[in-house]
Amino acid sequence: MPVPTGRPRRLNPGKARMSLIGLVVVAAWLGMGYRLFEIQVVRAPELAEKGLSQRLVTREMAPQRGKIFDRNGNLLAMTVEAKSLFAVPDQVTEPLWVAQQIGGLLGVDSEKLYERLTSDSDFIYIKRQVEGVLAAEVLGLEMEGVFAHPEPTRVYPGGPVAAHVTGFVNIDGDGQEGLELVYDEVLRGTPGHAEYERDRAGRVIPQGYTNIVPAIPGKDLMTTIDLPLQYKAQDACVSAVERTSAQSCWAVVLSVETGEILAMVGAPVFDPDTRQTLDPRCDQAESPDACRLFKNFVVRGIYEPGSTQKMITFAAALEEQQVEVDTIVEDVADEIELLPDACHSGDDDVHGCYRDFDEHDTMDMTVAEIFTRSSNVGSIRVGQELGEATLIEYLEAFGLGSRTGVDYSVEAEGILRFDTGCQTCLASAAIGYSVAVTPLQMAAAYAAIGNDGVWTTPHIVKSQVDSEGETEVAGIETRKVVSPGTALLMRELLASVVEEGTGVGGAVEGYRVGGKTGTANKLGEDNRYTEDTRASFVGMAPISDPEVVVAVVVDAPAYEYRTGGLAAAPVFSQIMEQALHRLGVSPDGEKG
Amino acid sequence: MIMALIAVVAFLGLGFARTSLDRTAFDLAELNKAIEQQLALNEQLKIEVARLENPARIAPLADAMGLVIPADTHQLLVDLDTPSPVVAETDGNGANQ
Repeated sequence: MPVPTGRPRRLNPGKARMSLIGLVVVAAWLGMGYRLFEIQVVRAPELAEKGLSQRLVTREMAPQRGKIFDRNGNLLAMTVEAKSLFAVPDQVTEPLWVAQQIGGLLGVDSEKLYERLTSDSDFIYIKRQVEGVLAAEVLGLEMEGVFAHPEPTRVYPGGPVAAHVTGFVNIDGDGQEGLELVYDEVLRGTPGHAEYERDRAGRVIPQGYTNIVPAIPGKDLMTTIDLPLQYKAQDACVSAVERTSAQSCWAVVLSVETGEILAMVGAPVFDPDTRQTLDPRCDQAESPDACRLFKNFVVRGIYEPGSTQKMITFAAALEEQQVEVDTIVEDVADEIELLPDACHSGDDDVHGCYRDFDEHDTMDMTVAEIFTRSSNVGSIRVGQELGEATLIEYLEAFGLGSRTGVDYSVEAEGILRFDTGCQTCLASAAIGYSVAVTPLQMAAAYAAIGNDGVWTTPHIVKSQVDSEGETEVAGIETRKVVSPGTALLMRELLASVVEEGTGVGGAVEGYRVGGKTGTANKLGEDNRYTEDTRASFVGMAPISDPEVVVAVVVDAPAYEYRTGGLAAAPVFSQIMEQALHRLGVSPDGEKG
Repeated sequence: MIMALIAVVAFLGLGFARTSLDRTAFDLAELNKAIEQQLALNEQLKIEVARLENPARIAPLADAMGLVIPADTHQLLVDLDTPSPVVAETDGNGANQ
């Protein structure tokens, strides 16, 4: 065995370095391999999900709220995309200039806006739901710190004209009044949602993950309203409020045969876009709420109908054959005392004394004369012939004391309550006191007389329209309340009121019109009658074959206009004339 | 060699097709956005038309121009069951003589 000699062998330094580098490279490759394995295999699901979450956007898709149309397809309400303008105060470099510019363009208070722009808030809304063109004008000024995001808004292109019909939605698009409230579920639709991947520019990544559940738009409503007639009726009511200095005026136009509401108006009017009452008197009102007259009195308000209700008393008496039109009622005085000393006690709180509107001598009167002259005393005598139970039966049959079933927000049912042992209830009810009705209930009752004794549910929506087509409304009830013969007699009596009685102001040139005036004192807060009245007129035309019923109520007119004949009948005449023109009804005597 | 060439061409073709598809998809997205904008504009125009047709705007203008509803309405009634007293004569081509 050879023995090593000389100096011991040493490693080549170059070779050692190469080995070390080789080891490092191998270790690095192994590290990268491990890392790749970890990323691609071990943490793959977690990282894929993380990446997706950065690219994936989930967006709720708000459904388009349904539109509302009149019977001719005129648009009454629709939703459009608007912009809500907001600011980040920290980023607004010139708050004064911004406040001035925006104040001028949007009509917001510049000083208040300046205060908010210089506040500590992180975010402030400048104005929500600004229409596209205006928003573009504001954004076009390129103000630093001012931004916008899209937000749908409800628009009412008819403005105040159909405000009491459509009602309105709040800033979040929830129905608050009118059709918007009643049909909120139908109009609202069903929200959808979209999930998709987007790139850094916000664009949808082609071939990326998408999951779209489309929103289902709300249904459109086709109403029975005739917009031009609605405008004319509202104009007549607004003029009546000015002319008579009344608190308000309400009117409804009803199709006799179908029960369709052709117009339903109130004054003062309000703008559904701004939800502000348009009445100059509101500027002086102590409380801003005092002038927020959004409630539709035609459907939701109740009042004592006064003499307009005599129509039901007389129709019942004729139907029950208790009287004939020419039956003579003897010794009709101008006052009647149902409780001892009620008329001469000098105390207004004592009930039981009923007087005619005008003083007159005691006389014999036919039933027709009593109706035409609207004698309270004579009407009470007719009511007494009829009896309390039968009168109540007919009042109920004509729809008093219960909701008509109209498709409108929270309808009032009125009051029809006779206390047990009440000695004056029959007399009061016979002449339209001690009961309370809505104007729509009275219109429907008169429409029954125009429709040969058949009562029909009033309604305001003809159909609902969606992508699958048009669906007619259901649930239109009809019921017979008096015979066609009685209805015919009542129409002639109503015509005589307009031709020679208290309702001459309701006449329409060229047509035979029938109607009845009503004047009822208003109850004060202390439950005592005041000097203020509710003056009303309900009538129909043409009397030979009625097509339209119009009911008008003027609330608290000035004393010189306190009666239905003076305050409400002229409004009725104006509205009825327009309605007959709109429907193309031939003037009487010109039919073939 | 030929197989390799085919593979390269196929790879490049696939890449080109994929790029074209993506570009088309982006174009489509842009077009959809444009459609949405046009639909929004259309809705705005509908509102504008409805506002212009509002009787509350038109009626005062009509009044200012002196337009009124005729106070005295007459209607002409034509009895279609009775033959017209005037019988138009026509030539062979259907033209009135």
